[in-house]
Amino acid sequence: MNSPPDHSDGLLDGEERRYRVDLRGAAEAAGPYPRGTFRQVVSAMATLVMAISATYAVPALHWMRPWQPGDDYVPFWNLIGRELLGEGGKVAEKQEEVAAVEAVARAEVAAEETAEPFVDKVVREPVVEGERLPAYAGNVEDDEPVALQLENVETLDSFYGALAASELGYAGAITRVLHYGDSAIGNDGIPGAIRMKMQARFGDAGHGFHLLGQPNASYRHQGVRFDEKSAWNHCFIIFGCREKDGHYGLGGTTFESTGGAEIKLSTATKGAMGRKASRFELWYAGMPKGGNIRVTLDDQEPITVATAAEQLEDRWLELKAEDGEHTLAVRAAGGGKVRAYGVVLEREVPGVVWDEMSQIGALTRRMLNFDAEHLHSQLRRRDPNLVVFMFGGNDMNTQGTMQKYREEYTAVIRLFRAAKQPMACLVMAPLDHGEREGSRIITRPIVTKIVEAQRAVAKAEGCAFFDTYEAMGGDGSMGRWVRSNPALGSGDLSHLTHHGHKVVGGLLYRALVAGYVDYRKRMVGTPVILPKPAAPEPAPADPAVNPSVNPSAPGSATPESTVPAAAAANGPAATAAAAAAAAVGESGDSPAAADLQ
Amino acid sequence: MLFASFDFLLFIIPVLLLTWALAHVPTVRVLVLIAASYFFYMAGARDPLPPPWYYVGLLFVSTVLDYVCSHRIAANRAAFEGEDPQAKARARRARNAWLAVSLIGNLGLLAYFKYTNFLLGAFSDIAGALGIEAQALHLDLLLPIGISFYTFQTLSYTIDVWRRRLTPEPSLRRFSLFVVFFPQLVAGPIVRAHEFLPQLHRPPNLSAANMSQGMYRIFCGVIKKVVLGDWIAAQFTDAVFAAPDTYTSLEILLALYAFTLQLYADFSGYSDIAIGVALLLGYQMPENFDRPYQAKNLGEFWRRWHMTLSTWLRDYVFFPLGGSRGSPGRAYFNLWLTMFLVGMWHGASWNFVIYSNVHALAMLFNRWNRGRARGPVTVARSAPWVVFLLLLAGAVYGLGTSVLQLDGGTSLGLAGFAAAMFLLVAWLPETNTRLNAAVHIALTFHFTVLSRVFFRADDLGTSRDMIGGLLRLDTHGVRPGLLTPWLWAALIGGLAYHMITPKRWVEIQGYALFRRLPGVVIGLLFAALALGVHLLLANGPRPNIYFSF
Repeated sequence: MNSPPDHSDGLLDGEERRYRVDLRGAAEAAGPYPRGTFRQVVSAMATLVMAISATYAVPALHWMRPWQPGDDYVPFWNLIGRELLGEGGKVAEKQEEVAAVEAVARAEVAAEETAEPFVDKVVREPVVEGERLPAYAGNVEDDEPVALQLENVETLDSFYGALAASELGYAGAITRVLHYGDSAIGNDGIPGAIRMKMQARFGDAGHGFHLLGQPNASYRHQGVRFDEKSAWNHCFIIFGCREKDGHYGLGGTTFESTGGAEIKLSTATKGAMGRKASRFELWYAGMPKGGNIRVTLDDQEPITVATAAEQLEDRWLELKAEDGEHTLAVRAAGGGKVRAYGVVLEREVPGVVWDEMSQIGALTRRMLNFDAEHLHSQLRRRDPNLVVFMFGGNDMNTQGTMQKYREEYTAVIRLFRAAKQPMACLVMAPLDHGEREGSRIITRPIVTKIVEAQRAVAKAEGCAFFDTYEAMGGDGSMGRWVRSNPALGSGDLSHLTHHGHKVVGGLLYRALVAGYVDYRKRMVGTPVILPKPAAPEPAPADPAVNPSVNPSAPGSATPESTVPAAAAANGPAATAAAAAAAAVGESGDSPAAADLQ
Repeated sequence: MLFASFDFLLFIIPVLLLTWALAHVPTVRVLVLIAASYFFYMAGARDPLPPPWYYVGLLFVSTVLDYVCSHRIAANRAAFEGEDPQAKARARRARNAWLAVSLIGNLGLLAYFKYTNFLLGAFSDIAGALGIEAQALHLDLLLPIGISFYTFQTLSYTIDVWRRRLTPEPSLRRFSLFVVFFPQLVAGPIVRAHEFLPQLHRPPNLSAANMSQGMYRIFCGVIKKVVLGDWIAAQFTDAVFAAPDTYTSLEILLALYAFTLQLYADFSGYSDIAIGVALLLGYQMPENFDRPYQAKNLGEFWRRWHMTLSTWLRDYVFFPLGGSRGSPGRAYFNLWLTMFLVGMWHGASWNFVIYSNVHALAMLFNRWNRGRARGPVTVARSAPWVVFLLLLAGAVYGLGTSVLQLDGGTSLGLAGFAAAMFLLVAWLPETNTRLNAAVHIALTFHFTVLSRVFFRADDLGTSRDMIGGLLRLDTHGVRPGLLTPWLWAALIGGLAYHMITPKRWVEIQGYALFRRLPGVVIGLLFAALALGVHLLLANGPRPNIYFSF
């Protein structure tokens, strides 16, 4: 063999080595090998073979077997063939399913990478009384197969009605969806995938709600740029840190600072989503001895908002601008502690807004930590047409009975739906969760129980239901997804990869749209659901904290007061004020949080 | 077929027993090994997908092509070395023609499968940048596994015959085995004909020492490949590289460190297994790694990393171009081209264009820096430095804004960092103190870590996301649960083992302990290792990273 290289030289420092080798001549046969040449290696081999054989001979050692009939993995399958083992058909079928899903994943990611910004719909005049739903014109997507239909789909009629108005392009027809869930929807994976598809078809009405900070590293939204200049102190609902008042904001996390904390939210500069915004809404709290928040839109004059109030209450500050690229900075400006929840970025065009409201690590029952009135105030302000719940992943690791779990889930749904009627709801079953059994990855037994419990609750409470577990492929699907190429499931057997998010998002989207198409065909000629009217003019504003702010020229940011309590239930404020004013929202009494635990 | 799999266990035991039994019948033995090698190449359990049947045809075509070309080249040797000038000229033309056939045939196949789509896409990208609309054609090509390895292997043979350093192998059987020898067929080490073919002429070197050494190399290789390679990838790095924009700056940086360790462990582990299996079969194969992250400069790194590839390109590209002879400009060009090809061998994408150039230019700097005269700082001596630093910063700034699509401020920061690193490495002398060596090693190591963004990222977009994420310098730390204590232990332990532990602990003392163990104990150790692999990688063994090159 070659002599060891000189350690003092780099690769190309040395001189070329020359050699001459003559290969003429026949091969020599080996003579007898010394005794003991193979003793160690053969005894090692024999021991290894016996050890592996023992796992097959001793039933208790089944978990050690490197291979068992029925595994997805078959040694030399392409040369020997599964048919020899009588498993060709079944495994080939599963492989075809996975191959189809893999192809979808690749196509989804490729589409995302080449996606152009959405083309806005032609805006129609606002819906007038008596206007009827026209015949459904059809869409090229309608021919795509639907892997799994929604259950109780008729409960989504109010949502589909709003969606119809958005698709038809009526002015003001924004369809809002709040998507709550645990880490399954983290990183805006599944919600982002759905948002992309919904906005491509029904219109891009903006990114939606974004927390004022990152309660954890898994909180990252697609279609928006977020920069935390200086961190806010946050309180995440699952820790019950706001037990005294239960005010966690719409997104389940409060952010506080006595001064200096600052974030910037900007429209996206690449991809299809979030490229434009024209309406910003800061969600914050008025509270005793509250300080000031400074809000700056692009390079406009900052607006300072005083948050002092006699009691804890929900407040909002709305800013409007020309539809386009913008950056909103929110800073705690001293003068006392301030509390804020998040920012909404929207556009005033017909379309869909899909809010990602992930509660990483949350059990379903943690949503009961909300103060009911506060939550209702937040929900009425946001005025969603649909609330989606995707919990259960963390519940699989807790103690308790399925009956108790059903009761908790029921309580959560009722808590949310009590905010306004009607509020369509959709329960998404959790993902398949796997566990290892030898070389196999099987579905955890609790998964199907949780899915059935959620199915029953959804039916009883009048919510639609999407069986995510079944849509993935049911039993053992996480194992197949983990082993697919590209990998769709992550190594912890409980979450999905970036590709997997796209697939599940696509599956839910297809199911939603299938229900929508049925709705449109069924409801031809019925009245179009009217978007909520603009809120009435508010009472004269309180003296401005920052009197230097002038009424803005058209096309620039127009600071607007929040709506008074009476109009809050009707949706976002729509009036302009001469100067920034301390907004008056709904009063926020703080009764004890409903405790159903 | 993957090494760390049940398939391989089912395969290798009968193959070893059979070939040992046939040690006295070389003809049959060679045929058995050829059949076993083709079986190894084609058999698959799940991942990677089994290759199409035409891959076998490509392997066969490559074998026959170089066998025939080498014999035609050798047939003209006598005339070429003779006195008759006309016969000499004819022989020269014939030899060159047959060499060209071999080069075009082998490199043509490699270029077609590996680089066609990239070149078509690059043409479209460049046209787009110039404002010309050009729709890129995309061919549905599947890269034959191992083609980058066996192509270079057979080319080394033909070139050596042409150079008259090697006589052609008379036996097609032995030559076929040289091409398809399964331990190194799909991911190296790239074996030179003049090192391996003579071994096929001799009886296999089967000794108790080689048996022990072989088993020991396989044992260490499996641990490296599975624990530090596959497992780290499955637990951490794959997720970060799949969606870097969802991870924090620190998480991305940790993923780069983890991938650096993973890549070494995966590939060197595979090489260890290949070398160990070859020893059990009675053959020696060249080493492929020599603790590369202990290199004090980039030249030394490439002498320690994937040595069989880098020395191949040195011997068949760098030296034939003239090496370091000739003018400094010519020497630097040769150096740049060789290193550029080292990088581009790994893959056909803009990522690898950037990776190749980053390493090639860094090698040029390394060569210049180690050879330059050092002296006192004067204004006259400083002027060219200032000019160069500005140029360097400008180039990095341009790379940042136009290629990586970073904002101006971030690109400026990156440019400043590059200039600062250049100054630091240029200023830092190479003394023989431990501290000095440690600093050089740390700088070289981190250069390789950071350049791995382009090596691992699936595409330029992912590279941009990773670099953007790194340079975001957010303060969100690492999310709880992302890196388990076991993962931390593997990362820290793996890097510490590589950087700190003396080689003799493993290669001499560890081996000495191992070879004294009774066979039964070794068997139990392997059984425990197999169980560990089985449980650790319940989602199946992963293909070696270099399978895709």
